[in-house]
Amino acid sequence: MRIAAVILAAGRGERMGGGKLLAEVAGRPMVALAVEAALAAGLDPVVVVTGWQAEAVERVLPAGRVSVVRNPDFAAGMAGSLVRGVAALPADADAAMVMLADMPQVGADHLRRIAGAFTGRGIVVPVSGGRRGNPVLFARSFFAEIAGLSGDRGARSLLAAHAGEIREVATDGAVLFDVDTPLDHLRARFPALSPGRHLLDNAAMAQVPDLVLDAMRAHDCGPRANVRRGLHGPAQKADAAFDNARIAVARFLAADPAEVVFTSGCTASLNLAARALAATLAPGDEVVTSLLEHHSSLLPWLAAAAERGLIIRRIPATADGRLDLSGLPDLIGPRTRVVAVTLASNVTGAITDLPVVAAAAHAFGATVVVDAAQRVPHGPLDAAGLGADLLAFSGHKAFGPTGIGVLWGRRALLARLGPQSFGGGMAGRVDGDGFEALPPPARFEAGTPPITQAVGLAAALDWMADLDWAAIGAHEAALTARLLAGLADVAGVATIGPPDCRARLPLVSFTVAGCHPHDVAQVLAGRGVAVRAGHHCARPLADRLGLAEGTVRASLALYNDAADVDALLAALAEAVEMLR
Amino acid sequence: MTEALYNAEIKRLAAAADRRIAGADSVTLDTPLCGDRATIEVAIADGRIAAIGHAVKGCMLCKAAAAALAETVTGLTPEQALAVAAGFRHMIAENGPAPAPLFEHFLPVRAYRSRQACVLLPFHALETALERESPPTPPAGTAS
Repeated sequence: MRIAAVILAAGRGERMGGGKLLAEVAGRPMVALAVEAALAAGLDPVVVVTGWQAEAVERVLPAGRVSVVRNPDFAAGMAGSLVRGVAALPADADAAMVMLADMPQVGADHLRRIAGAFTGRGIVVPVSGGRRGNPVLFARSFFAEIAGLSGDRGARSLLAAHAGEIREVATDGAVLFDVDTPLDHLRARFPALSPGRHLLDNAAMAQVPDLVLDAMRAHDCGPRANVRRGLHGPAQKADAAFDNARIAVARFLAADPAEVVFTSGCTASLNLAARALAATLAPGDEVVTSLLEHHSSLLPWLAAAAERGLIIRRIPATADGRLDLSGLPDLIGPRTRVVAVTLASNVTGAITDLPVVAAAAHAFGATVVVDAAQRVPHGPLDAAGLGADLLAFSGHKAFGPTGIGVLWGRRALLARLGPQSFGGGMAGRVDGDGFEALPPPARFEAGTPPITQAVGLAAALDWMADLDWAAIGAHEAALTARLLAGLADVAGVATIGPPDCRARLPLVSFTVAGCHPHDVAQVLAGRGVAVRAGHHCARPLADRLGLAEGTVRASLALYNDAADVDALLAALAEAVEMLR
Repeated sequence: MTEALYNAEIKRLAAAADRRIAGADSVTLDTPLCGDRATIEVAIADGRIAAIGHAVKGCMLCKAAAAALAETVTGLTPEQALAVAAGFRHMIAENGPAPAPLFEHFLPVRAYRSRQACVLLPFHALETALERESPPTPPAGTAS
């Protein structure tokens, strides 16, 4: 049987501001992706109906492999494009696969699956999670009826009229996902996102956009070589890629590349900072940390205190989960050497007023160490401008790969700190009696660094740096407000943290009376909603707040939408019903 | 699928109040991942388990497992109880058969790897308590 493709690519894309079909996903214009999928699936011929920006759209189509039909009346609605496309099909076409050019996740496999279900008659519709999607395949017998369509009805009216002739094919959520808004376009960059998957555990692990995957694959398929030691061509390119990654991180932090140390993760960065600083401290020196710290920020100092006789002081928390800075003058004083605080709590979402903390610390010459793991995924920041002296974050929370972290430090401070790991790449002169550590950052990067991961992280941060963070911040705040309001309507739910969206991350922890957090999270997971439950590696805070069983935590990222929040709230209602 | 996990019998068992035995040997264990804490107390009389005390600060599955354990091993010899515990672990982690009818309600836990530790915790505590009561006899010739 001969199955043709009719790709509807004439619309303006009003909610994208026009020209959406030329917007790139996975490095390709969306309309080109649709054409390539149709060709790869063996659909023949492939007819593309253009309209808005017709010439520009047609320029990205593979010459000689598609037929183009222009619809000058595209503004009148989708039906006109469909009519023109089907009219252009050859007489021996047995069926038409009607595709939308703004569904970038629909690939050749989806098309083959739909085509494979065609028996020579009827209509084939893909289904995911009980919902019908696109593309839809129509047998020739429907072509005459399609020719009579008008307005913006498309072919959906045929489905209602011929319900008994429809064959449904189960597939994944790609057939439900089309790009209508800038948020849709942003979501399309993340291959793991699909309708029905509500990923609200971003504080633990964010998803990775296609450009990061592409960058890492291109590096490993190309100049994969060790850095700082090779003379051959790939090694030279790898050196350049690694240097460029450091530059990208520096740009994101408004810093100097020489101030950027690559590590294996945020925990490694914070441990490096603590060990290097502790080596300069004496018994009785004081380290001020806080009740909001993640164990990765706290435990390195508890260990250092036990080893070196340091005194740990702790900034308390307010009832709504913020740092209580009212007592800073009593906590920070002449014996304070280090102040180690989080920039944003991974439990309450509260953002620390770091300039206030840093000013108090710097007044006594103390070094400010900042855990920025939760803050970095929400936009570029000025590390030095905020008052940090050392600042750590991880790649996997910032849309980058796992296995990489960053320790940023002021140049003069890094130069005063000694290496904490020893081996290749960190020393200059080496003889039988000793060695001389290289200047920062190399002195802190013994051994082979995470090169490919650095390339991926750089791609993520470069991408983030160019986003409209004012708009994203508003989007995240709106979702957080929606979540807080929804939770307030569930009997027995208590939220932990600030009651509003001021100076907070899009992250909400909560408890449900009579339900253990793990049981709640388990039921949510069964409904496609991923959250985190437990103490979130912040046990002292849980104890202070009386949260012996921990909390459920929903943490949002820039790609989440209202459907994610609504799915959580709906699943939570079911969880309460099931567990109580 | 989650409905099978939180089936009616699991909920019944979990709803049972903690039961403590004054003066009995007590073992408390935690699961580091989720923070569940289970206390199991064993009272032995005439070579058999006369009563099991249990107290759980944790999830529904952990509470249900502790209650099911108490219902099942009371009246058994320590050796029989250890065999039951081993059988339960085999059932959960290695797709073995249920060593007692009551444990069949826990079969859905097999599909949730991250929750297996929750239901195994009370059984670990039981084993620890029984081994404390009757430490394994060292092989002949082993220095004490």
